[in-house]
Amino acid sequence: MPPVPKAAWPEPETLLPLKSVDTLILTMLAAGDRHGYGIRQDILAHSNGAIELEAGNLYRHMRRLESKGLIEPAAPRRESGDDERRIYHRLTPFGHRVLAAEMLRLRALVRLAVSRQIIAPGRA
Amino acid sequence: MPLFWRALVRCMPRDFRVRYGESIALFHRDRLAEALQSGEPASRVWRRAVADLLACAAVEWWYALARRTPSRSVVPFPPRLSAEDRMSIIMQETAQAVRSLRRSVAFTAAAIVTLALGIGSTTAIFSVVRTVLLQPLPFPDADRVVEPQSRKIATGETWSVTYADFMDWRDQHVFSHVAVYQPTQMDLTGPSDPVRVQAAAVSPQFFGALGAAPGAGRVLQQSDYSLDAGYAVVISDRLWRTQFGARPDIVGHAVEINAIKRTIVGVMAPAVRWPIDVDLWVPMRITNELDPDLQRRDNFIFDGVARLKPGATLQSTAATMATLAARVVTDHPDVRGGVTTVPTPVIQAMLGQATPRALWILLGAVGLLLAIGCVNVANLQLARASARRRELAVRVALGASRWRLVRQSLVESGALGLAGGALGVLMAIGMIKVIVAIAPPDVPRIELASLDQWALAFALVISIGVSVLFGLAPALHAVRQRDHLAMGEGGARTSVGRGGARTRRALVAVELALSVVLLVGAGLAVQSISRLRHVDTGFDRRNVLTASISLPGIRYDSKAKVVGFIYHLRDRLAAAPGVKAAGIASASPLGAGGFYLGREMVADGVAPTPANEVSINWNVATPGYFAALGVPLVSGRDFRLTDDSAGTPVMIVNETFARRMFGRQNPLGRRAMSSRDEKVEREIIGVVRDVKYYGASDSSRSLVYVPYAQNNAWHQGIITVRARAGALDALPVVRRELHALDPNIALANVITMDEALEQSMAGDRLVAILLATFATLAMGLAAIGVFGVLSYAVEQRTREMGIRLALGARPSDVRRLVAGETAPMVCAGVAVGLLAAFGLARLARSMLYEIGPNDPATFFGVAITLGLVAVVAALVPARRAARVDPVIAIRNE
Repeated sequence: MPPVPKAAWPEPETLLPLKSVDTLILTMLAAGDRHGYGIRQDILAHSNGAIELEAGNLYRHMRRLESKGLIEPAAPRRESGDDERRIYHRLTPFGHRVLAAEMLRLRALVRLAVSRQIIAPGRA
Repeated sequence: MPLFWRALVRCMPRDFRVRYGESIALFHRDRLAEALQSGEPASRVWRRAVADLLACAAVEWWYALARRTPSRSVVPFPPRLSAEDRMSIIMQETAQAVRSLRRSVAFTAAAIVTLALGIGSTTAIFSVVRTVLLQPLPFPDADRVVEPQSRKIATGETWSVTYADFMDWRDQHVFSHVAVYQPTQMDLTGPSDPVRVQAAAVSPQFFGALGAAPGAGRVLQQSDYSLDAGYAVVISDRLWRTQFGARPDIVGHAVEINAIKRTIVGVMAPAVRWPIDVDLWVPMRITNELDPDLQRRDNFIFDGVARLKPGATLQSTAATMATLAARVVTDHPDVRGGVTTVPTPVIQAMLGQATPRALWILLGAVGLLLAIGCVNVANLQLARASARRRELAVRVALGASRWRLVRQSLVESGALGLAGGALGVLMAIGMIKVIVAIAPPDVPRIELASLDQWALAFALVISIGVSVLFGLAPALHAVRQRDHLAMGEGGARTSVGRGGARTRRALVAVELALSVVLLVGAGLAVQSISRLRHVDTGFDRRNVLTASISLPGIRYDSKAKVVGFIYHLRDRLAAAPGVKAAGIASASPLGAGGFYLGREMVADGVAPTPANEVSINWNVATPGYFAALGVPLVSGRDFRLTDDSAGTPVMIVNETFARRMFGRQNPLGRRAMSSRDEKVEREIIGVVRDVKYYGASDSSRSLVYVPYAQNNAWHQGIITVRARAGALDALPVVRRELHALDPNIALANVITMDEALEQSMAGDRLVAILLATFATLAMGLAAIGVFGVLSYAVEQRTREMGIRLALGARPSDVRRLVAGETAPMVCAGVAVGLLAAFGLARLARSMLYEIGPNDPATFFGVAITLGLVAVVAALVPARRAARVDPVIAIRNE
């Protein structure tokens, strides 16, 4: 899928809210390039094993993210023992902006929850 | 990667697969490797992966189709295709078929609804057939459980067995287990009103023969049969739940049954009930097997059940039984001549003959309906294929092979078939509910019918089957077309070819023929039921209420007590407010309850030989019974209180008996006796009209009535009350009077005579309703078929009509032309259908009442009706043809 030309990129807010799986994928990619299985492992670790993505579901979402221009294939790494067919993905700058917008939205939501005393304020 | 995995990945749409297929495979490899380390079972990994990929494929295909990407299928393919490409072609073809079906909404909707009606009805009836007829009974190796029966060799009629025969089978080890039992009703006295439950007194090997294990406690054992043992009872799971609140400590609990304290020793496993509606099993205690009554070879008052010996077959057992029966015939030719014994598989014995026949006929009927639906869809597809000739031409020009065209057509049919099947399954759920709701109560197990996995599998198989059936004609048509086109014959304007039109007309003729068969069947069934409904039952049914009572033998242990109670109760009832007349008898007409004793009688002064005997049904009654039931006394008088054990033995007979025994002579004052058992000469004091004893369709039977006071103590009675107003209004009065005399007797089987009549017709009515529904649907489909074919023909020939009209043909000539197209097709179809119906109707003979299976009026009526329907269906296209504007018609081309 050819990358969407920059001029045609929509405002990040129009893509919100993101699906929770999309948010997770983008967040994991924000920490650095990953291949599909790596993303799964990160999400597993983050959720203490609660969220277990399988290949089809994962790549379905990645395909949508890719077609919207939020992620793109990264240059392959040539580490020893790594399969050369493996495709790494990375966050595009646009993807960064969309993820940030989503996080701001979520932060506003969390603050609302705190003010309504649904949860206690975080320590950090 | 295993082949299986590649096949899974190939389920994905092509672009998704190309892009991510390899990544997904690597993902899976990593996943398996890690699972090995972490100890996660590989089966879980595979299970999740397969589910995930299938779900993913479904979603991606949905999006792919929704985007309506242009088809690639017209692009010629290189001659050698990899497996992967072939898979992808099939996927594309499916996508293409779905798209093409979505384009013609009307066609698709019509086809799917037609198929759904056919598949839905067939699936519903199949579910019922499977549940009622095919599903084995819940015993281990249920096919080895048989019911020994007596059988008249000449007629094949079967009935119950004698104790003497049972002893032969038991002592000569004909079976691994054999038992006799007697179904009865017993009053269970509980904390509230006593209830009447179905019960069976069973001999020792009964539970062994069934192979039935208890759900709790134990079954009856040998020690329960010794005369000094306590009274034991085994109850059904149903009774345990309904009457005892499923209390866990039920085993060992004592209950009062027919005024005897019995200990519950066990609860049967759920669903195990034999005979089918029994809730209690008690030991049948035989004090002396040498009792002459038990030694008699014509005392057919026991039902049998047995399990085949290991290694024995039904045939070998039948042979052994026949040998033993032949010996009995040699020893007792007078009572057993022409009678043998046979082992009947229990399920067959339980169902009898009427229910299976009715169900198979219904299954046949829905099969016809389904066939009609298929023909209709095939026709619609043919018409549509002709309209899509341009598309076909393009594809042939681009090099589509024959196989490809056939496949394309079949894939489209498959999509239609599966969609129709899915909708049909939904319809079947509703239909099963309706059938179960209106089914007669005496069809065993029908309430268990539901859409189970068998029915679903059946629906799937017939969906695919009919897809092939109705897809074949269009597929072959496509091939023929291709050959025409390939040879450059298919000009845009010539008609589609006589072949296509002929096929379509032949299909409509077939459809009409099938409809005729269904209509004839429905016509016969509906007429039969309407005659039944107006049948003269021989008595005045209005405001008659009946209910049965049973006096416990332990408290009513003498004839004086029984007769005293019965007569006292009758007097109280007759004098009660709101009651016009009351009586009590041992059995009620219309199969409403009770029990007739079968006996043989001879007239006075005649030798009691089989040739002189008249088979009769023996009914015990009180004075006032005939007035209560509304049976007119033709001559003589009713019973009186003085007709007691001190008086002359008397009886009242019905007209059939009087005619059979005495011809035209006056029967009053004549004597007759029960020649084999009672041997008391009774004087005939009255003659009453015949009534329908076993149901509305019953034939005339000989019946005699004797007074309670002159019979052996008869503990059962059917209270019969003629109310002044509504029959059911008398129920509280009856209950009050009964319980005023004895509060521990249950009032059971409460039914009005109008209800009894309805119930006796319920089975026939169900069949008639379903057949009529299916036939109406069939006729509608056939009409649509005629209409469709003619409309299409007229449309195709608009130009020809225009030219004819322009050259001076009158509109009537054009109409005649269309009529000429219709007539041969309709006539041929109806004629073939009448012939087929003529052949098939005989199968339904035994279900018909007062109407022959080849009733000319029905056949004629069906032919006329269907002819008229065809004419109406042809009318619209014919008028359209006549109104063609020549100018427009010719210019359009």
